[in-house]
Amino acid sequence: MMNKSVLIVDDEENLLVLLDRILTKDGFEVKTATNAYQALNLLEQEDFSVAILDIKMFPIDGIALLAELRKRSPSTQVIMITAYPTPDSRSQCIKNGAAMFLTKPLDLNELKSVAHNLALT
Amino acid sequence: MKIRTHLFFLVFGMFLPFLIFAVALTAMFWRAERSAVEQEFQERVRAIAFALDRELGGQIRLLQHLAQSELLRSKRIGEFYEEAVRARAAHTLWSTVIVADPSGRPLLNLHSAPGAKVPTMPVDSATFQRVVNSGAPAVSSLFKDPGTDKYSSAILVPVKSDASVIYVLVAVIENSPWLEFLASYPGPRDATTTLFDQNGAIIARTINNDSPVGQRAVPGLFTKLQQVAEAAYRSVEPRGQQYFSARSRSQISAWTVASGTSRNAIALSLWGPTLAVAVGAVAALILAITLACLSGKRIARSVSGLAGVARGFTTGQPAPPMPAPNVTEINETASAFTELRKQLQASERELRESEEKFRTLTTHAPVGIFLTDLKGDYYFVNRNWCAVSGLTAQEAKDIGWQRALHPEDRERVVAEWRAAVQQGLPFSSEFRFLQPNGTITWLQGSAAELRNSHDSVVGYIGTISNITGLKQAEEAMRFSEEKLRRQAQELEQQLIASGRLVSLGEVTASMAHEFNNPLGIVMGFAQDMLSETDPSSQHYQSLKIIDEETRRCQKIIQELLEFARPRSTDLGLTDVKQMIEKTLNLVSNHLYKQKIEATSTVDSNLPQIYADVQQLEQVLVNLYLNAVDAMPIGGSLKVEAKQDKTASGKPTVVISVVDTGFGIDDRDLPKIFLPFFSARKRKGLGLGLPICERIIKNHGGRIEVESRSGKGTTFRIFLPVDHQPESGAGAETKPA
Repeated sequence: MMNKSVLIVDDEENLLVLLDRILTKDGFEVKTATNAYQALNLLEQEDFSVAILDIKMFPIDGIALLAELRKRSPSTQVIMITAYPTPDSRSQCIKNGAAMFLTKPLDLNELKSVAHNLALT
Repeated sequence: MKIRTHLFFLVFGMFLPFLIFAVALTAMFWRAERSAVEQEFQERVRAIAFALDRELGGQIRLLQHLAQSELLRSKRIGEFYEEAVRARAAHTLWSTVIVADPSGRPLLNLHSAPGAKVPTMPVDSATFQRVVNSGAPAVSSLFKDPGTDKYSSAILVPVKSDASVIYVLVAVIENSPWLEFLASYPGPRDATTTLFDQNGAIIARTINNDSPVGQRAVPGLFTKLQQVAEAAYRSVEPRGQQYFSARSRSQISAWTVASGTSRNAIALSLWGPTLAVAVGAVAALILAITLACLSGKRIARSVSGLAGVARGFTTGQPAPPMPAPNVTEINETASAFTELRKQLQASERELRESEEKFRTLTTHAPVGIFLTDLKGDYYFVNRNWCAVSGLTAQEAKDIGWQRALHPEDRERVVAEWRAAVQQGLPFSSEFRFLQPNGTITWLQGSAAELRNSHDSVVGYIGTISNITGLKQAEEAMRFSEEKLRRQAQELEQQLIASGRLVSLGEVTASMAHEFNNPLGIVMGFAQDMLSETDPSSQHYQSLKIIDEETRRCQKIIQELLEFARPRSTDLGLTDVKQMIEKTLNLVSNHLYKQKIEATSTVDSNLPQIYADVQQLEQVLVNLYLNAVDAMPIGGSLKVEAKQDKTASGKPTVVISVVDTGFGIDDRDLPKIFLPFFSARKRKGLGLGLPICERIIKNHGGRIEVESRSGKGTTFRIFLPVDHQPESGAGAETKPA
């Protein structure tokens, strides 16, 4: 059975509200977290097919969370999002196992499409 | 061969005919002498025969006188005896007298007493009969007288009475008188004179008389004796000796006188003169050869002296003193040599002077000078070179000079040198010499081909100039530059640390992040709401405007980000035509809405260029949008791309964007590429053109603008065709 569960982690709460709304409308089961700890807690409770992580977070940033997530739940496909992309952060994400790297402000249609595709894999 | 040998042969060769001539002459002389001797012999025997005839004739006359005796005529034989005795006593030659009757019966013989038995007639009957028949006297052959038992011969004389022979008177003569007779005619020593009778019996012979008497001559000889009255001949004696004999026959007696001698004896007599001639010839030859040798020696000495002078040229030694030359030609040659030597010495002097000049030049030159052969191996370095390298001239030879190079530079410089030599190109390089004492010297080395008078390359001549000072200055400058840079950085850091200066990059980065986040959220909600709102709703318009304006904010932030931290140039082969078409497509909506006619003209064989497609597209779109803004009531937009060359001949692609808008004011024209300059409000931060310019610059090109207020604007982009990927990539420049 196709699991269209998605975990969104970003310290910007308003963005979480937006993305929750958009993805729920798109058929996803959405869970959100504002920091890494919450995220890891949620991960323990259930498996997600997709995770969307913001890079710039505090105290644990998105890349560290990504590494941890990949360890705990290798089957989860991860989309990294950031307001400021650099070649460095991009390559780091890919190295740590991110499936996709998107820039803010997000093209919501693009996000939907990517999440959808990743959930299918 | 030495001169002496040559002369020797010359003289000998000259002498040889003379020698042969002398030998021939001697032979002829020899023969002449021999025949003279032989002739003499002949004459001698002839003389003896003649004398014999005279003697015999005399004896015959004596006997004939006795034959006249009356007693004989009157046949008173008894009484005749006494007369005969008296006659015998008077003629000492007669050993006896015999009277015989015509029949040959001896009637009287003085050997026997009167009345006693008369011995037999010793004379042969043939001779006796002849006398009787002919009535003429005769001489008998040899016989042995029974009365004396000695070899004797006889003279017979007829006693006539009334013209008839009544008796024969015989006088017997012994041999010894004949021997004496022969001996009285002395001949040459070793010559034998022999008296033969008619039968060839030896009557007497000088030398060894007793043994041969009575012996017959060699039969061959006897026949010869009979044949010819006179002859001379050579024979071989019983004992094997070669003999020369001459004979002559006595006319009266038919006896033969022969005289012979061994040929050696004759030869011996000839030796004297022959020897004299030979000795003379040899002496002359020796004299000639000696003279030749002496002469040769003198000439040889002179020539040797000349050779010594010539040799002196090559060894440089002064010539040994010439022996007093006595040969004109050698004199001439010697003077010619001396002249030549003077000239050579003068040339040598000149050469030495020129070499000296060269040496002085190179020794005192303030640069290192080196000379190499065609292969590039060193054969000369000057003092300065040695001083700089720390090597001696000997050590530098061939490839020894390479040792002077700093180990780090050695491989490179040697390779560069080899390549230059092989290809016949001039050599130029900077490198270091490391002296054994550790001194390092920076040098500029150059070398050029050395050509001879035939314009062929014979080697290389090069110099090394000390550029250590220069290098040190460079280094110092670099160091101070580095120091300054570090200082600037430190200062910046300090300032940043002090919070007084924050890099624009950081500002924009954090700003962008801060802005983008809330912006994204607002945009997101607006879009979401728009998707749920019916276009006829009163809120639809408001939501639309919210969406548009937030997008505008996003764009501004993007521009700022772009300007503050530009992307790296990712070069790749780009088709300009495609790019232009694509970009025109992108703005086709805008063009349509504002009723702008767009055309593009691209050269058919426009080459591809190395470019970051996305960035160039960004530039073109920017220019198009500027053009659109400038033509609010429509117009035309022309895009051209053609090939061109720079002033230095480099191939370039020129892209022109031409509009017919309201143009740019002359006052504003110089400022349009300045950041944050915006000629009009509400059109962004004014970073578009600066960004375009920077992008073009990163591509190694330039952008130009031409505009007339009210007429339109033309932007021209010049892009090099062969802009290499390496130099453009990763160009992250700090913002101005």
